[in-house]
Amino acid sequence: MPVALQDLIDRVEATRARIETQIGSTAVVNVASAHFDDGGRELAQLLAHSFTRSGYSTLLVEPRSSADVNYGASAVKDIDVLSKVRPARKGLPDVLRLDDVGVRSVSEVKDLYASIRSKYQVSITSQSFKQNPGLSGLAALADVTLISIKSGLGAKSGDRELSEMLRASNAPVLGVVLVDPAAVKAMAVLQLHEVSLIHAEQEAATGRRGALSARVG
Amino acid sequence: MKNRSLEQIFQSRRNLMLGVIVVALAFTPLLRHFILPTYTGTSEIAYIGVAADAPLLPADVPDLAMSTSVVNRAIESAHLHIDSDTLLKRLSVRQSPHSDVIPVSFSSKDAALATGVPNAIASATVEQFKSLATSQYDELIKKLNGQLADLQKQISASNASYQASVGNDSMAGVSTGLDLLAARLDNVDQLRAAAQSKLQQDLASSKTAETLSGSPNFGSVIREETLTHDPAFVAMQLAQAKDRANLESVKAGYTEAFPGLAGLKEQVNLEAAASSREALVAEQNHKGASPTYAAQLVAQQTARSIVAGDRAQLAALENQYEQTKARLVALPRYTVPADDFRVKRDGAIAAYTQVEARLRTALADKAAAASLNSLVVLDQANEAVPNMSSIVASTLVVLLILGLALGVAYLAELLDPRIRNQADVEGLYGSPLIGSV
Repeated sequence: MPVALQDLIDRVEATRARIETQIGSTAVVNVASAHFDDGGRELAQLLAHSFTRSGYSTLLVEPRSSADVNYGASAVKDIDVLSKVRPARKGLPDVLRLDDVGVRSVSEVKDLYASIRSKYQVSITSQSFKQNPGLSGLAALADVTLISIKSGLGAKSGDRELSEMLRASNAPVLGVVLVDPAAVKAMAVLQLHEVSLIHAEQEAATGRRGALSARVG
Repeated sequence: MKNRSLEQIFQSRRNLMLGVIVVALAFTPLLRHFILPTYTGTSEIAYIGVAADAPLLPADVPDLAMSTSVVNRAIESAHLHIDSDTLLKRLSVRQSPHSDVIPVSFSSKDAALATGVPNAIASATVEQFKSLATSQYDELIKKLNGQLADLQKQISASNASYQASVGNDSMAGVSTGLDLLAARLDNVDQLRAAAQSKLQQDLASSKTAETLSGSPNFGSVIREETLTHDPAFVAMQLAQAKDRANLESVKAGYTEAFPGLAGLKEQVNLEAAASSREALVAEQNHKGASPTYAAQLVAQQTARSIVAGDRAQLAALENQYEQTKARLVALPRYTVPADDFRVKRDGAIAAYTQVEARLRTALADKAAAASLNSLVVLDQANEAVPNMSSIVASTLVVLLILGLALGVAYLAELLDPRIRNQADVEGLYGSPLIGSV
């Protein structure tokens, strides 16, 4: 295993452990970023995978894939969330794409979050303020918010706006996670299932698997 | 968002501040140019007017001093490196209603210019005022100077013509030239007559000398002196006398039949013949041995020389007479034009003298007019007064550089669009950094 990748996994685990201390039995964790390329989506994926591997029933709510999504007239309450979740594969979180549910108001988001809280212990959402400022304003509805910032050089203007918005909405911000572009690049190359296999090998070696299975059960 | 303290900002921006200070120091001369004190120099013009018809009053002096003509005159005369518009903007000329002293002030960052401009303006104003006060005389003076120049040309031309006429004959320039030449001709005529008379006398003397040398009396004397001074002839005479005495002795003691008698006779005869021949030779070839003959030759030569001298003198006098006579005949042709040119020249000189007197009068009148109503430079601007000391200026420069460095650092902080470290992140979001991925 490359040393850099191992280091990446260790950092994700540490971050997940930090979050774990702040959330209750069920929680919606919001990963907010000022820009679409700040690594928020990748951080959410890594955390979701980490929670799953830690025995939590986890839902990864991914942002829409295109900017010109037509949300349509459907309401969240009419949507069977589970029917939209991709069949779970072992060791991977379920994934819900916002493209598919189409939320347009605060009440719809509340309904969505209530729905996923009832089904999962941990739900990880990622939202780029630049990409969807309206949804970012609803970060207060999440149980905890992480701010994803690309480490190194970054524009301050969008972050300032996001900061102002989070402060105005009294969102429960846990802290900031710096995402290394090199790690983001590694995420693009490695697929989650490959990471899962790496985890499996590690857990088999350390005997953690048994402990985790007991926790899920 | 938590803002960073000024100390943190300046600490993080210290390299930028240092760079700004270095650049500012490099441009210190430029900064000093903007911060250097402004110098003000002041000269004073005093109005002195006693005549009622003064061309300008004290109240007019500021307008005069700030007129384009005066400003341009000042710039040109003092070689000021400033254009007239800029000069006028910084120039102040104000006349107090209760004073005839008008201050002329100029402000500049150049101390030399701050003193040079008011001095130049004051001088140019005074000159312009004098020019206005005396302008009525200037035209007259100019006209009189023109007349003087014309008359000077006339005098020169007339004099040149006169000199040319006089050059043909020096007597043409003398009023009594004809009389002088006539008297000179008479004198030469008299000298010529005297020379002729002397020549006749000397010719007569020469002839006498020639005649005396050919006289028979002198011939026998000369022959005798010649023979006496001829040694061969004298020796022959002695030998002949000796043989002749011997012959006579033989004749007395012997008869004709004596056998040696015939030989003696023959010898004596031969010696006589030889003596005669020698006498002829001596007379022909050795006549110079005669003092009398030599004296006659000298006398003849002297007489001939005197006659030749007389003839030469007479010829010279004849020539002089003819020349004088010719000059006397030709003189009227030169005398008339020379007189004409002389009259013209003298007339021009007289006119010149009159015009010159008028010019002197006009100049005196002009000077009087200038002194009766005049402006004078009462005080020169010898020192420019700065509006701040050099210490203050230097302090301002230092403060400006420091302020610039601090300001640039603060501005850079405000405008910096980057998130560069953990402090930036926590300051921006007000939340802790919980990890990095």
